Amino acid sequence: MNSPKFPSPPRLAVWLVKRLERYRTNHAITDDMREVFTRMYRERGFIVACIWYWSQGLDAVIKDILFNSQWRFIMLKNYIKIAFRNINKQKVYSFINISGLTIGFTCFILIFLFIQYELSCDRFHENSKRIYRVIHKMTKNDETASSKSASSQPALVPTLLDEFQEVESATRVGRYIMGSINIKSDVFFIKKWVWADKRIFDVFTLPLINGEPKTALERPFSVVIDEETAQKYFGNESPVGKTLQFAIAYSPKKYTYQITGVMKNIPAKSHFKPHFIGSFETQRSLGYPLDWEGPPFHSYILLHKNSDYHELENKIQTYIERNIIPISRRKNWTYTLQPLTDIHLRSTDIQNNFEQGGDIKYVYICSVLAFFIILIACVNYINLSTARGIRRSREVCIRKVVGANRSQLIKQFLGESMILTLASLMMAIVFVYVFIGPFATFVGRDIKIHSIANPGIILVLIGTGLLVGILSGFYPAVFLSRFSPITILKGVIGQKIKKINLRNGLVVFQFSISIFLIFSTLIISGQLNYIHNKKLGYERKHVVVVDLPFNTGSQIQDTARNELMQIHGIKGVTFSLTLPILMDWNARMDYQGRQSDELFETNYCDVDHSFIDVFNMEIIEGRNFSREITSDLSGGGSYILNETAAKQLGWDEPIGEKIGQGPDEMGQVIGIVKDFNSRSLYEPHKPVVLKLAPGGYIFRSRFMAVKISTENITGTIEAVEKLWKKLVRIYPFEYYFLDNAYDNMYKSEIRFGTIFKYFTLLAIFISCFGLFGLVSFTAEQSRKEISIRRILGASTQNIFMFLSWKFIKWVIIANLIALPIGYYLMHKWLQDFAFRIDLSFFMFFYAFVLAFFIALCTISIQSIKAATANPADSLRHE
Amino acid sequence: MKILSVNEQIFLIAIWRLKDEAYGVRIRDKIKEMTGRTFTFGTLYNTLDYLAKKDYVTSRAVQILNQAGGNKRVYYTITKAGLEALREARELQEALWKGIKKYAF
Repeated sequence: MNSPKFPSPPRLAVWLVKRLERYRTNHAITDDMREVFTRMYRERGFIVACIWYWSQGLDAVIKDILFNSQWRFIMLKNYIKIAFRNINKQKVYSFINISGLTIGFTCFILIFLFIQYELSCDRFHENSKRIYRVIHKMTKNDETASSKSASSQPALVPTLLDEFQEVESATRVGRYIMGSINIKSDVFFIKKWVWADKRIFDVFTLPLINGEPKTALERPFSVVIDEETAQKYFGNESPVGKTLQFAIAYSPKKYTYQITGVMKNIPAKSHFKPHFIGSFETQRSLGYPLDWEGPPFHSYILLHKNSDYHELENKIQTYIERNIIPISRRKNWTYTLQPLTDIHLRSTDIQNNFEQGGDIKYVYICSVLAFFIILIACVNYINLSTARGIRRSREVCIRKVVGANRSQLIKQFLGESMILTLASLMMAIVFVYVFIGPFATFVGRDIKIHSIANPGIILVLIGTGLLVGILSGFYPAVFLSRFSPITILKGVIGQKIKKINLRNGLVVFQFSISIFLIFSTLIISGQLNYIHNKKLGYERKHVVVVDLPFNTGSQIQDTARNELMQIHGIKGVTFSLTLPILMDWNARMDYQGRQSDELFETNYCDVDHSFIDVFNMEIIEGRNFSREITSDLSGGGSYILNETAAKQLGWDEPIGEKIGQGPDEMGQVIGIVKDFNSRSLYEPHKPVVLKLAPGGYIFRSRFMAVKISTENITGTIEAVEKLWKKLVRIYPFEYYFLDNAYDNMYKSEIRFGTIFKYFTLLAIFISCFGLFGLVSFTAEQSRKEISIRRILGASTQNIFMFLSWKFIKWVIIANLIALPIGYYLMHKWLQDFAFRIDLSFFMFFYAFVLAFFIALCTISIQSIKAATANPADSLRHE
Repeated sequence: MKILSVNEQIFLIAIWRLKDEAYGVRIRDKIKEMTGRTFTFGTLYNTLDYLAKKDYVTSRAVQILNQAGGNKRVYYTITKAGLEALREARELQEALWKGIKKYAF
């Protein structure tokens, strides 16, 4: 036969159809289909034939599955029926299992969504993987301290663009600036204005709705605003081409800017969210220094594809050391690059961030906690199903006798755990739906329920569900299917089952986690309490602080002070450069008797006469500033130092010594104030210099602090607001209490403490559930034994001890395991604080007693019931 | 005995008519010729398997050399039980339609 070669049908389809032949003896489906395929090919072409083959193949596969699974389906129906019967028959254990798993899954999903949110920050930029932020690290000469800052010198970006080929584009973005804007005849107060290069739109993905990204920020005095702002100030009109006037806070000068573009609102997942982007060129026009001495900017660079940023870091370092640093006179500069995607979670040690981000540490801790909770729930399942094995043993044997093989049984039991797990997962999703709102508020992130409808997340959820199902079902399945029909049908039940140590091990494991959590919660809440109640060296209760976003003249300060003091309920008013909790102003001071070249670096604050009184600080040497003594204001002014500053300056007799910001501005030290906790408790005491501002009013007063009496607080604040409106007009009255601001500094710690508390409660809850189930099984299993013991004269206490002792034993062992681990980890956590509580013996004791007590209570419920039951009831039947 | 479904009747009749020629492709073509219906191979083999299981047909595999198609064919032959079942089905049909004229509706 001389027939031409015919093409073969699609290989994948052939392979698929071939699978079908495995199950059948006389089958020629592939050959038949090939014959028709060839015919089709001859008549209607290759493509039609292929389509035909595929559709036939798929159809055959589906038909085959439907046809053949009939028998399997009948078996499956039986399995499902038995599973539901078991769930129904043993309501308590099913409840324990399902509720445990549901709680576990709920925590897991919530935490997972949180982590997913945290990790997805700043990833909406197209080039997010190639964008880096320059971190500027400065080390003190003696290498005792170093600080990392997110902002760097304005001359850096042009240098990087000129000198390094790896850099595709780079931009400077200034810090947030507060100020006031005039639009038409209205004045508004704004908080988020930044300066940026025109290249900001090359580096970041900030699409403009209106305007040309290439040129929008090219000329001086141009500004791009976001959609929200445009809507707010211009309504539906197009703002492009219009003008606005802007004045930086503390500065009286207003300039006119042209709006050259409107950008889409920056997503909440961005680490910076300015509403106004002013062109960098404006800075040049206004004559600001933009060299290595200029005001700091955030620098972002976009690298070319395939460039290695570690390599670039080294190159930059070499270049800077060779060419720049001698000019700048400063020493120990280092520039490092931080990937954009790290900014949100890994910037806790970096200063000058735009906004406070998350903390990778807490992300890790949360995931570990969620994992623990699910694990505890799994352990419950394993323990209860193996314990329940005695009941199931007969079923297993009958199935085996009738002809089930072991793999079938394993599949059945795995299936049961799957059903339970999936049911829990469904319920957990409902719970997540309910709790996601409060949870999102609690963690302070904008997490929405619809973020769960993401293919990746769904896949992870299903994966976790299956994994948990297998994890919790596998051991019971293997264990239950191992029963030998002969021994069990003979009646030798339970001898083997009683012996397993795994269950005890798992109880120990479960309780170790719970005890560890109890201990940690005790320590964390102890430390948080300590923070909350710590005497800081200044009074923070009943102090109202008002941010002053503008330059107050001496008159406003005097008028405000005089009028405020007349309001009933106000005990004191002070204007100052910074606050005792903040102390964010640094100065280099010259001082008498200075021997080295180095100036004295210290926290610095301009204050007025009443600062010490309002904050109720304690003068331990010398005297307070006084209005009566005119010399306090004359000459270089007068100073009060804190103990640390006095000590570091090394004077024998500090009072009367001179200190100042330059040789001609030296002023006298008149008093020493007791050390107070400036900044956070993570840091030890820092030197602080308080200067009574010359002239009696503060040139740069950023804060007004008002001490109020406890009565009628709202009334007093309203009175202050009224005065504010009269004096200030355009700026909104924004106030806060100093103690709230202080607590705010520890927001993430407080959050962390609360999360720990809830997790601990849940973990204890689930473990106790499991323990409860186990004890009731033991009690039931040894019901006859207990009855006989009682008849023979055992007392209730004896029986109680008999039942409880072995569990108590395991809880004690769990304590021994958990407490050292807890000690180690908590000790490490506390090390971060310069001011912290001590780990005392009592904390271990409390944790121990608490865990012991909870376990004992759980056990007692069942033990007492078993011990007091009437022996006749359980013996009568046989 | 279970009454044959219409599909099963069609298959059996097709196999009977084809005599020695009854293998997958031909059965399918024959059915198309007889009834105008096209069956997919999935349905075809499921039905054939079912009929074989009920012992209405027997099958035998034959190795052939055929460049255009596969190298294997499975031929089906109707059994006595199959014929019996067919006859029964036919009797039932006729009994059902007895006395009803073709133009009655």
